[in-house]
Amino acid sequence: MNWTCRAVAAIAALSALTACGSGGSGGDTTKQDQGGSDKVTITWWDYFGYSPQSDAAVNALIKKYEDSHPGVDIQRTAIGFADFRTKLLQAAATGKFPDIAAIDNSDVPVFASQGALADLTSKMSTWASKDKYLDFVIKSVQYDNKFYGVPFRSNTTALWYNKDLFKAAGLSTPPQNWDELRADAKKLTDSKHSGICFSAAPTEEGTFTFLPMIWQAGGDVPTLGDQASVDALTYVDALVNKDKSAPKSVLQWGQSDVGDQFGSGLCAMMFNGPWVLGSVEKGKFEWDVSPWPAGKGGTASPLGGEVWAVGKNANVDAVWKLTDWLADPANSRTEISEGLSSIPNRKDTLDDPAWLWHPMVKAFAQQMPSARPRGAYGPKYAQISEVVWTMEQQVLSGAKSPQDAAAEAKGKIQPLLGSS
Amino acid sequence: MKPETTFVKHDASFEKGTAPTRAAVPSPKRRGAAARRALTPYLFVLPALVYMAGLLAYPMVLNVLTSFKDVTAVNLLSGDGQWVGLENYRQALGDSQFVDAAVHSVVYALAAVALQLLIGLALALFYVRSFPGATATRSLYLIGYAIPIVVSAEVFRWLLDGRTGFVNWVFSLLGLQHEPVYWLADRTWALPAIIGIQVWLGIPFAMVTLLAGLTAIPHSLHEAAQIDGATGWRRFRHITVPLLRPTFLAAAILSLIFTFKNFDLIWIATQGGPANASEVLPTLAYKLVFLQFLFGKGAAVLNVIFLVLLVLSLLYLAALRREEDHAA
Repeated sequence: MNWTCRAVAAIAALSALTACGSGGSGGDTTKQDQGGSDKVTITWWDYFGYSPQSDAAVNALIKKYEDSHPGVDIQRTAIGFADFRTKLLQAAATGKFPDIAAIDNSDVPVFASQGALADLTSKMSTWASKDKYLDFVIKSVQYDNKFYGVPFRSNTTALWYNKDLFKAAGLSTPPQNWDELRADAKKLTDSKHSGICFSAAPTEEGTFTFLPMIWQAGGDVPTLGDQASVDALTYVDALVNKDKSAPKSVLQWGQSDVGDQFGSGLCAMMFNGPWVLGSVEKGKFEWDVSPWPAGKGGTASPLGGEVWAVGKNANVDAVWKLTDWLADPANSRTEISEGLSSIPNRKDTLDDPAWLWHPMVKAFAQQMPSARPRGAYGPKYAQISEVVWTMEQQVLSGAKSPQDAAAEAKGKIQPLLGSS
Repeated sequence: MKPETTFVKHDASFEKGTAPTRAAVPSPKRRGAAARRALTPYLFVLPALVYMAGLLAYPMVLNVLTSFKDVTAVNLLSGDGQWVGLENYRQALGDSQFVDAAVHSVVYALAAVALQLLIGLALALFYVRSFPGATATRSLYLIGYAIPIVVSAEVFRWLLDGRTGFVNWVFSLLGLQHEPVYWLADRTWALPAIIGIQVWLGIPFAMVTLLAGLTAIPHSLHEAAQIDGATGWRRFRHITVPLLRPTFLAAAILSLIFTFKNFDLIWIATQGGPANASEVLPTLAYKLVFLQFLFGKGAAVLNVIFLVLLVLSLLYLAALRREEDHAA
C-alpha cells in the first residue's frame, strides 16, 4: 500500500467517515412489509466468512430461524476478520452498531465501556439457560457487574502431540505437569525436530499463548511482577534458550505458523487451538490432544470464541428471542459445533457425545472448565496484551532477565487495569 | 501547470479572432461571458481539486487534529477526546519505543537505499553494454519487482528460518556457521535481515531507473572522450557520473520514500519483533492505532512519518525542477 492509501485508511478508521459498512444499521428495526404486517428486521454482523464451511453454518442458522419465525428478517453482513473490530468501532462511534454482532469475548468491555451495547442484565438474570454455561463463559459477557452479551460459541487451547515422534522417543503418555513437559520436550528435540512449539509473536497471539502459563504458575495479570510471573518467564526462557526445545522462531510465529510446523512434523508438541486442525490433518502421522500440563497453580487455558453483543438501539426483545433460540443446543448444535469448529461451553454439553464432532474435542472439552476470559481485565485489554507480549519477547530474545522484564511490566500494567 | 497555459493561449487566439465585433463597449452580457471564460480553466481543475480536498487534504487535516486529542477506543463514541495539545507528541517522543523505532526507520531506509543503489548501479553499468542474452537476463530482474511484497516477504521468512532455512544451509555448507542463526527472531540480526530483504526488493527499481539514465547518455560523448585518450575510469568519472547524477538523485529520493514508509515487509517478516528490535515507525503507528486503539498517539506517530516524507518529496520536486532547468 502506498502512503496516501494507508493514510486514508488510517484516518478513515480514526474518524469513522467512510461509508464502507453497508447495510448494517441499528436504530429502527421495524419496517412494513408489503402485506401490511409488521416484519422485524435484525441486522447481524460476524466474521465467520473465513471459510466456506463456517460461512455455510451461519447461513444455515439464519435460514432455520427465519423459517421458524416468519415475522423476522435477518440481514447478515459478513466482514473480514482483520477489519471487523475497526468496522465495529466505527459503527459504535457513529451510533450504527448492528442489532447483534458476534464479537470476540475479550472485546465485551471495550464496547460496553463505550456505551455501544444494550444492558441485558434484566434478561440475563432471569434466563433459564444462564446457569447451564460454564462460570467463566458467563463471566466473559459481564462488565461492571452488568451483562452486555449472550454466550455464543467457545474454544480454547491445549497441548497437541505427535504420537509417532513420542513413540520414537520412547514416550507413551503426554506430559501432565511443567516438569514433565520440559523433560519430554528436551527428549523430543533433535537436529530436525523441536520438542515444543508455540506462538510468542509480538501480537495478541503471543499473549493468548503466554497468559495461560502465567495462570498455571499461580500468577495473574494484575499481579505481574510477582514470583509467579517470573517463574512463567523463566520457564519459557528455559524451553527456548536453555534447552533449545523450542526454536527461537517462536518469536515471529503466529498460531497458524505453529500449526503448519506441527502439521509438517517439525514440532513434536504445540500449544494451539482447534482452529489449526486443517494444517494438522495434512500431516501423515498419528496425533492427539491433551490438556495443558499443570504448573504450580494447576492447569489453565485462555477462553476463545465469540459472544453476542446487542447494539444499544436494537429491538432488545426481538434480538433476545433470537439469541435465546441460538443458545438452545437443539436448534444450533451441528452448526456451532462442527460448522464453526467449537468446543462445548455448557455444563450439559461438555460430555455430550453428540458434541464430539472430532475425537480431539474430548481433550479440549476437558480443558474448557479451566478456560479463563481475558475480558475480565477491562476495556484496556489491547494495551495490557501489548505489555504481556513485550515482556515475553524481551526475555526470549535475551534483551532482559525474567526479573527485569516482569518488573517493567508491573509498572506499565497498573494504570491499565480498572474500568475506565 | 501546463494545461492552464494552453488554455490561456487558446483563449487569447479566440479573443483576437472575435475582438472587432465584441470589444467596443463591455455590455453586461459580454462581462458575463468574460467572467465565464475566466472561470473555465478553474472549472476544468475543479474535479481534481475536489478529489484532492476530499481524499487527501481532509484526512490529513483530521489526522493532525486527532494527534492533538486524547482519542482512544473508550471515548471514540462520545467524541469527548480531550484536547491535549502536544501531549501525544511529547509522550511519543519521550517513549523509548518511539525513539528506537525512529532510529530503526532511519538506519533501515538509509542502509537499504545505499546498498540497493550501489548494486543497482553496478548491474546497470553491466547491462548497458550489449552482449548476448542481455535483454533476456535483464528482464528477469523485473520478475522480482513484480512479485507482491506479501509473497516475497513470506518466502524470505522461510529462507531465513533458523532450522529449515536455505540461508543457514548455505552458510553451514560453506563452513561459515556453527550455530544456526534465527535471522528474523534474533535481536541483533532482525534489522540487518530486513535490510537485506529490502535491498533485494529494491534492486530492480534502482537498476531499471539507472539503466534508463545510462542509456540516455549520448554514445558520441564516450567516443569523443575515447579518441581524446580518456581511460574507462576517467570516462566514468567525467561523463557518466555528472550526466547520471539527476537520475541517480531521483532514484535515491524515490527509493528513500518507498522504503521509509514500507510496512508490509516488516509486518509480515517480524511484526517489529523480537522485543521491538525491528520496529519501525509505520509498524509502531499501526500497532498504536489498530491493535491498541490509541488513536491520538498513533496519529502523532503518523504525522512524524508524514513530515519526513513531505521533506523527502519536496527534495524530489526540487531535484526534478533543477533537472528541468538544466534541460531547458
